[in-house]
Amino acid sequence: MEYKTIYTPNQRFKVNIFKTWYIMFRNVYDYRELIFQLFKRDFLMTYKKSFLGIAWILITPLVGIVNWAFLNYTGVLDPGETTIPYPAYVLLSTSIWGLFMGFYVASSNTLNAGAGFIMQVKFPHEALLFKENFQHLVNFTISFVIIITTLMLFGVKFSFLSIFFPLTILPLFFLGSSIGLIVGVINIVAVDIGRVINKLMELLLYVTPVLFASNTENENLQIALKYNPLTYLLGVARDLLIEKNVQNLDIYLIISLVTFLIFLLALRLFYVSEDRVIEKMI
Amino acid sequence: MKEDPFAIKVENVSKKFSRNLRRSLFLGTLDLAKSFVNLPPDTTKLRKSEFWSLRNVSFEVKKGEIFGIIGENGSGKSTLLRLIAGIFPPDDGRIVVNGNVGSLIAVGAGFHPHMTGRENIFLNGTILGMSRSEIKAKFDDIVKFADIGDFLDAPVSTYSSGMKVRLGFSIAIHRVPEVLLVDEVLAVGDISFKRKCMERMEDIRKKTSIIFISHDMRQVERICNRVMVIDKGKELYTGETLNAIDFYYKHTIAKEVQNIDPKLIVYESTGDIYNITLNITNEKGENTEIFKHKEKIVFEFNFESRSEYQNPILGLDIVSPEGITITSLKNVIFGHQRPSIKVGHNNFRVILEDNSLMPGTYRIAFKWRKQDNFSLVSATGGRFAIQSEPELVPFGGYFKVKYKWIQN
Repeated sequence: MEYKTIYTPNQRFKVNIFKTWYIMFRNVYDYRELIFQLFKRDFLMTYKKSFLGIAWILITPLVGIVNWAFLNYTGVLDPGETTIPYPAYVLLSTSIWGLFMGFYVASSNTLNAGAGFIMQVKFPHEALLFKENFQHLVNFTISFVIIITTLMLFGVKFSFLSIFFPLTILPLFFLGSSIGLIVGVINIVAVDIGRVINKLMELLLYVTPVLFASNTENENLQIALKYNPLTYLLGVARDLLIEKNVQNLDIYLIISLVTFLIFLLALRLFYVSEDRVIEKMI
Repeated sequence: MKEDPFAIKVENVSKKFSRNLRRSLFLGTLDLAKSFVNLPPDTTKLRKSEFWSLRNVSFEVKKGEIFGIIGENGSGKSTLLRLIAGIFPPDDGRIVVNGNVGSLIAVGAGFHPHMTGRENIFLNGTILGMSRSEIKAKFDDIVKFADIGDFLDAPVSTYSSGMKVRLGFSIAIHRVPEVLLVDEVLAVGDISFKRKCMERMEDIRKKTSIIFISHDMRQVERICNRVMVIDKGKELYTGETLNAIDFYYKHTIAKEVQNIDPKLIVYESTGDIYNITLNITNEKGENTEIFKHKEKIVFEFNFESRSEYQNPILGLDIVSPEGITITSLKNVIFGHQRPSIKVGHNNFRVILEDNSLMPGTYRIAFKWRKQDNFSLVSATGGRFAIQSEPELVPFGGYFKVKYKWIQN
């Protein structure tokens, strides 16, 4: 088969924005084998050197559950505001928060995941984005299933709406990975900016109803919660699991749509900008 | 559709880098900020601290051709290869590649030390762009070529460095792309494997055009059809292999000889002989460092001595850049009286009359002894070079000797 590749300066700027998405998604599909091979390498090999091996995937959430069980047993933390025991609420919330932050971290690690061959071989780097996030999702799923199972054994009741929970992962992915993708590119040339954003992301935890319920009485916090999209993205995901009625569904749907648009924009920014800085990875 | 006769066309390509890391990152940040607002940065001008790693380089590689690129370290060879591979974009000019590209820029890319050789073949093969079925089909050949024996199912961390390279090379070379980029990888591995690699490259050239980068002129001479010489990012010469290598030698020898420290270093001495100077000249007594093959070379020693020595054993070794003494010009002439060392000023000249030294840089070492073999002084120093000539290029080695081939 004959085909020509042409390289010129600032070539990617000339690509139509819609075509960018087509190219990127097409690349991810074409390179699915690479995504799988790298996933296999990084996922399985993490545990290869330890005696407990893959069991570590189970140990981490179990430790969280032991914490939860302890708090539950002593009853020290029970504000009585939530529909399920507070520690269970926190456990679920922090899991979903971890899911979101994981998408952020995984995406910001996109280019690093190719360290060792990114300067040797040409391949579409967006494949690494999906590989990193897929890996994170697999880790999350394993620990989340354990958590849910344990909570059920302890008598926590889950809403039938829980079956919709997987859908709520998408907007979390869109938002988390959009920020991560951009931070990942920035990190190549401006580590300081990347670090500052990292810290800010961690601080987000305190203006998101993760450790406390959204009906807190602090007024400033109320305002912060109101304008924080994560309040809704996390809130609805959690409500689907535990509440009978889901709050702010209309706002949630709008925000979800916006996160998707942000994700598309981030993909374009990544596509155009990584080409400018990739040579600095040497 | 008419088929294009070329495999790679590089047109006025330039690439710039920054010398200063922080500045480079700062400039990168500026470019990034511009990119985010969809403003393409102007890449054709140099900013503070930037330099052209490649400047207006143009060449064409025809289908089925093995095109060599030679140049000193830092001349921009690897950058050029990465541009052609599409790893990062050029800052000016245009590159057209006809067909898919495989690169042997660094072998074993992405190898995981804890994975077995078998697993790494699939991983690395995929990274290089092979499909699973393609790897499966070539698996046995890859293993056979790499010659790793029972280690196939052992983790790669247990491999010797040679085995790792062999495996990496074997995977890469079994993907037969239309354009193959090879960067110095053959510098590693033992001789028999090197030979196998060169043979394999000659095999696949029927289907593949190759760009070959190497420091080893013998390899370049053996397989390349045409060669480009680059220096400091600029194309100096492109042409027939022998002429290009000759050009490269001419260009580098003058420079390389400058890198040798001509200072005499005395590392062993009784102290009796002092103020030694060594002067290298041509027959007419003119100081020079670059000689032609067959041109007479005169080494002149001046020194002071506190004592007189009858029948001293004097010598002058010619040493290759690798530190090998390739010949020794001793004053031992059987049946003749050797000149003696006088008290006070002494002057000796050694004339290399039959200079059959091959092109390259050389230096001098000597060890002088008394008649009873006790050492007087040992020193190294001096430098000179033999200029390249196209007809000498195919020979290699240190000397050109007279010989005949006779068919019976």
